[in-house]
Amino acid sequence: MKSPVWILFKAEFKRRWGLIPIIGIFVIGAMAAISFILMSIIPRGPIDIVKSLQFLLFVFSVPLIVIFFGTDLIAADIYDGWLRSILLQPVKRHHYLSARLFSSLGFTAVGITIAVLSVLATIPFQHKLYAPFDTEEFVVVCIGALGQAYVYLSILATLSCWLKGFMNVAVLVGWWIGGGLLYQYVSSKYWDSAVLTIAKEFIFPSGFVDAVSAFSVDYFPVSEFLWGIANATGWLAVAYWSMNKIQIDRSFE
Amino acid sequence: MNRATIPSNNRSVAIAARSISKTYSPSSKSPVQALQNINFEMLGGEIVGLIGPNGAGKSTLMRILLGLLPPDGGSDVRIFGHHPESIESRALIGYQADSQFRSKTVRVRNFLQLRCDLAGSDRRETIDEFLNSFTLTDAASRPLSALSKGMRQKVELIFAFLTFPKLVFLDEPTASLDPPSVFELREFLARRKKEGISVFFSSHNLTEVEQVCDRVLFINHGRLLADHSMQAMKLGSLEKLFKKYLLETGK
Amino acid sequence: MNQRETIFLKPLLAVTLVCAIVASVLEYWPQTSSLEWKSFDEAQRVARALNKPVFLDVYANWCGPCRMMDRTVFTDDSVRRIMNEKYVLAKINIDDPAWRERATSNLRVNALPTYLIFSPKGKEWSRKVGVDFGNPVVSGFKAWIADSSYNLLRKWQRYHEAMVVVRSHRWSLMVVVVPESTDLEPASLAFESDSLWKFLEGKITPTLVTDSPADSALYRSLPLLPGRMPQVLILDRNERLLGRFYIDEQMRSNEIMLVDALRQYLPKEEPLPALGELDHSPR
Repeated sequence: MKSPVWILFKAEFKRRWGLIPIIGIFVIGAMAAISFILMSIIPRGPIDIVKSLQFLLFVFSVPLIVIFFGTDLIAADIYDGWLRSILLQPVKRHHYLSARLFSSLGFTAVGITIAVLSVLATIPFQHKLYAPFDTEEFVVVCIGALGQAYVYLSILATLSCWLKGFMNVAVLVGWWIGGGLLYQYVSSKYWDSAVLTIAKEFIFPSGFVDAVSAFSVDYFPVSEFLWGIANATGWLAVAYWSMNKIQIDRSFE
Repeated sequence: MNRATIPSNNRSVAIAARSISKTYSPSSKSPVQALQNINFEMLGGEIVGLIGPNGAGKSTLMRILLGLLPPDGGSDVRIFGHHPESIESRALIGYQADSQFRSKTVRVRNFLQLRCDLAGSDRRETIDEFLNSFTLTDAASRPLSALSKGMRQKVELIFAFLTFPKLVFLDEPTASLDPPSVFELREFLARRKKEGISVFFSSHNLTEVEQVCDRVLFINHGRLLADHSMQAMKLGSLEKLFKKYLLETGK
Repeated sequence: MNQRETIFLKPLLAVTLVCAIVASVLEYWPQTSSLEWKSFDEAQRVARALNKPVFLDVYANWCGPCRMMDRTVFTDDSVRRIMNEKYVLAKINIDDPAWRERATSNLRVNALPTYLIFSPKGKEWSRKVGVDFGNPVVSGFKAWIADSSYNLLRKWQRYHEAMVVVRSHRWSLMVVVVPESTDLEPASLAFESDSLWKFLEGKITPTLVTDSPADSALYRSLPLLPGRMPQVLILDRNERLLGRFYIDEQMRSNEIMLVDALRQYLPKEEPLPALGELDHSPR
């Protein structure tokens, strides 16, 4: 018998993949390409494609893609009865959560791929000077982007267990802004403290972002990647706990 | 009021309910006692109807039996000896829900196939047979969100019975069905009963309950007031009984 | 088997905790580095006394690339040797309230990390923003700090342009002669002082001549002192030699000695010609 996670994973693809997601992914890809063209207009010496991709993915494409696929991630299924129909089968709650999260990650991976390809596709048409392309750094940027997307999706899944509609995205965005302000305040008060660097990880989870920005040929940022893994597993644990706690039948509310 | 002893670990007992109570908002100033000390058992192969006025607690009881709502402490529910929220009981039950799926990409056939896949049964012919018996073959490739309420209810009914579970829960199964569909349903239930499937359903339609059920449970104000075998009752007498209980309980 | 299963919760939390602890330990494991970082003010005082340039690192605790540099570049032995020998080292944490304003407005730091090199007297002569030292970073950084030198002299006008100014203003020409093979930095440091230029203003125009192929004919035609370099020649507007001297060690750090050396060769204040007197000075 096939694993329930695999069955639900395939069902998620059939359920969520359609014209609107395809259009959405290509629009986000086109936006990334246009942004890259605009960034390349200002002549500041040879253009570093990988650094540009890093900026575009982390600041722009990944947040947009994650919002597109992560809004109302769990609550939608609770309130329209889908989760009840699934969990009245011999399926564990974490099977459903895994299928939902990993299918979202799959869509995000497709979105990131399209964004990267859109940017690279503009290069032959722009007659600019480009810095040498560092393949290793490119791979690290793509993996880091996917890792950070997974952290965001885990957080959105957790929030969506408790909040309806787009509130999960609103809270995450508010947290990101509030976290930045809190960090500025804390860093101006405790700038010399070693504790600050650890506390930073708890103000807003950004392990993979930091790892990618610190990576170079001579240096693999082990501690930053470990923080990224801690963010991912920690938030998966919270999502998992939430999934096991919530009332899944809200049809009488 | 009949109250049988409840051997809760006996697997030939489809539903064993002991001291089921449910209070909503227990810590607020005005907690609502939805169910009070409900006890009954249902044996395998029976069709049991649950009747009562609106707000009597039928939905609450149904949800507790399905494991969708936790009862108060001290309550105990067993489905064929298993906890209602266990994988073992999920493998044995079906439920005809009233869902409003929003996704435009979930089609009828895929939805039913998902049920078969999760139950581990490979029965494509069964899906076609069931669709045929409810004249839904043409709707097989349509999205669920595009179906009328009546058609959706039939699909949910097929979903409930598709893998031949031992116990099926129906919540107002004929509510949105037209008369021909109601006849189809009656015949369908009669066939399932011959196959030994137990059915527990709540309904407002007393005629329905009379014609289909072996037993009827009457509930009002969260209390189980009667547990009657239909074999001993004449047709048409259920309505009188229903009015009698309503008067007694002051509604 | 309950639908609500939590067997994965503990392993996930364990992995999270282990990763977080190991990451924290790795970040704060003492890095072996014999680099001594001073505060910027103290570094500038020391630099002035030792006549060494200042290397300034502007960083923050949250700056990932800064940490990368700390762990890879500043722990490299050859980098450490150059930094210790050549520079006085200083660090500024941009989050320090005492420094934030000065760093952003006076030093014009707007991104991290920013590395600045200052002359012993405090003039900024080189700046790098970010960690864009090429690949690998260590050798790129090493090349920058090793080769970086104060080249005030290269900003001066060329000989013939300077001579045009001298002729039109009736000033003297100060020719600083340094062979290509010699480091320009000591001579640049010698001429850095603002007060020196206040004295020389209106009297002298500087120019640099080296023995590069472009200047070789000019270099050979100059009346140089024998031997040591760099040298200074003072010429009048007719290219006649008014004086010449070596720039020695003492002059590089003591601008008064340089001023005294120049003063004696500068023309005295000329009395105004009497009415009717012709200008017989040879061209």
